[in-house]
Amino acid sequence: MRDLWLSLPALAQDLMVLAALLVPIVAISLLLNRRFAVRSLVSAMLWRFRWANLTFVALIAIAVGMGAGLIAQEQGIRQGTASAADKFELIISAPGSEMTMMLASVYLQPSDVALLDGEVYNAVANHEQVEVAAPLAFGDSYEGAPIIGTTRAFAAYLGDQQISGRSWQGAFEAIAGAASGLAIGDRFQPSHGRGDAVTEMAHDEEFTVVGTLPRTGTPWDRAILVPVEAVWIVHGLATGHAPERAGQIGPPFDAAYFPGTPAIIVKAKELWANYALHSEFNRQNETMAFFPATVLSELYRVMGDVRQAMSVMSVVTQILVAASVLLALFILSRLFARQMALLRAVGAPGRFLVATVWGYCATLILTGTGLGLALGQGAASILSAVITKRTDILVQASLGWTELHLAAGFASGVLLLALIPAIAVLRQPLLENLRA
Amino acid sequence: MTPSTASVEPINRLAVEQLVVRTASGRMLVDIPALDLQPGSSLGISGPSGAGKSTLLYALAGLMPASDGRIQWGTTDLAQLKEASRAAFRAQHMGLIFQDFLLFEELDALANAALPGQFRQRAERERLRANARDHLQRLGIDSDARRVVSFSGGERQRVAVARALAGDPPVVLADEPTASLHRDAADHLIDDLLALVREAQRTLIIVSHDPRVLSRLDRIIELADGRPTDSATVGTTTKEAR
Repeated sequence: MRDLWLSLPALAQDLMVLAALLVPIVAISLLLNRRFAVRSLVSAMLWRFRWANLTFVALIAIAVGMGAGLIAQEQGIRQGTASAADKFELIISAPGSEMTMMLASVYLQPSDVALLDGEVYNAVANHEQVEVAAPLAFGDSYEGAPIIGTTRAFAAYLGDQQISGRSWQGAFEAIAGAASGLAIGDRFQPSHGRGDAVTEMAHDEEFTVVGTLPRTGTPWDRAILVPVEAVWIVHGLATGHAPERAGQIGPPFDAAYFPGTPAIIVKAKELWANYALHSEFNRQNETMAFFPATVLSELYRVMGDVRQAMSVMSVVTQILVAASVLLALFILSRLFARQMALLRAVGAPGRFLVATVWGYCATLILTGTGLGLALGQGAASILSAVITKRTDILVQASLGWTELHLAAGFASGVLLLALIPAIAVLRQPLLENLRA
Repeated sequence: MTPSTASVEPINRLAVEQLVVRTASGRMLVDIPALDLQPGSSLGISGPSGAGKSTLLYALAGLMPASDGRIQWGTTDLAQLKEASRAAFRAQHMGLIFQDFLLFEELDALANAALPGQFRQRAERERLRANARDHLQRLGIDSDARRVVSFSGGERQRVAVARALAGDPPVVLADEPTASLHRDAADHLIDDLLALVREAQRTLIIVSHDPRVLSRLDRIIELADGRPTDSATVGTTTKEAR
């Protein structure tokens, strides 16, 4: 049985779980409504208490929306940050905090870190298993877009070999990220520093954009890539090459003239080599090698705990809202006690009354749950757009099966409980209500 | 449709014997030694308020359980039936009219009049709806013009009459049907109600304190403290005398 279940495609499993969660609703509805037509009475009740009903629906929608939205959002952020790190299989840096290095190199959140020297760089770059070993040079920006010095090979790797225009030939040519606001042919002078730390004084050197990167959905979309040598020159450092080859752009670099790099982004020729490189360059007090994916998964583990807490809170909220709505329905059912008494007087079976009250509750709860899902999706989309705009990490939050299952489970549970006020209607004193 | 025994003992022939209705605490509300009604006749129940008029009507309708005795409609003894069976009997054979109409304000006249069809099978529901429309028309109510919230008292009670008759019941029970209406509307309503009841040979029981209503019925039983007064058997009229 278990093997059969596991052999099903994921979609079939999800659909079956959803169907199973909805079975109680369908079953109750069929049992209660067999041979009856309660719709006109349900609409009458909905209309009579329309303001109270709207409030109930809104309460349920907000509770469900919050839960679904939070989970979707958290998942979206996780997927977005993870795919932003896709191109960064292995990073080698000076020993320190892996998290800080990852934020600096993958998510371009600069911080002061120790530099690796030319010998280490060459050892990595010349390793037989290394395909790309990119040095990084941070520090300048242009209108909020960080300027990153690196190599042609890395620019091509980042852009999946899909650079529009061409790669740089000279030191003062640049490749602009898709969200940098620059186009081919634009010229700019870098400012020193980034963000709030930008100094008014611009550097004198002028760069020309000769190519643009396709959109990657990562913070690198905002970046402007330039030859690493250009950043060094602008800051009055060595060019990375011996004086007789001072005009050279790109590797190999001369260790003696290498100003240093905070990190080396490594792409290995083969997947297994990453592990070999990882252990080879994890040297006490010298270098640190780490997989961003591992750091992220640790981060997600912490986030997962937070998510658990959020889920529990949102479930508790939903239960509270459901309980208060059911309580309110109890009170409301007093208000239509006369109509119910009339129905019994004209001979309506008890099942008909239960079906009517339950149908009324079901309409409120299902409408609220449906609206809640839409609300959750809407809130998550807006929040994702804001995060994407702020960080350039492409976050796409959309409701998945988990949220649908949660919502279906919620609706099912509450509708089961809604039988209580529905059946309670039968216990109301008939004659008193008839005469009132 | 009606079983063969019913032809001998029509469902709208009432025979009450030693009927006692008590409150849960045991206080006697109604005590009727005997009461018989021929099919198609009409009975008025009168008496001061608190005399047990409505209680008797509700007991005859099966809305209130009999503590003792028999309430025989045709061959069915309501006093022996459980609540659900009494409700089913009511749905099948009785039409009820109340003092304050008890309509669903949010529904239109036809939906109100066809209400008992909502808990029947589709075919019966359709038939009942057509019947309700018919009765509304005869009572001068525009079927589905607007919600009854804007109706006058007289119009509302007409809708209630149409609802009571929609299922073509052999028995019609009315609790103070004219008490909420002004004189003209009351007279008008009773005219129409009696016409509709008599043409189909329905048995009609009306609780009322209105002499103008009571005087139009075949028989009157007057209650005091839950028991028929001596005048009850005296105060009868016959169809011939009317």
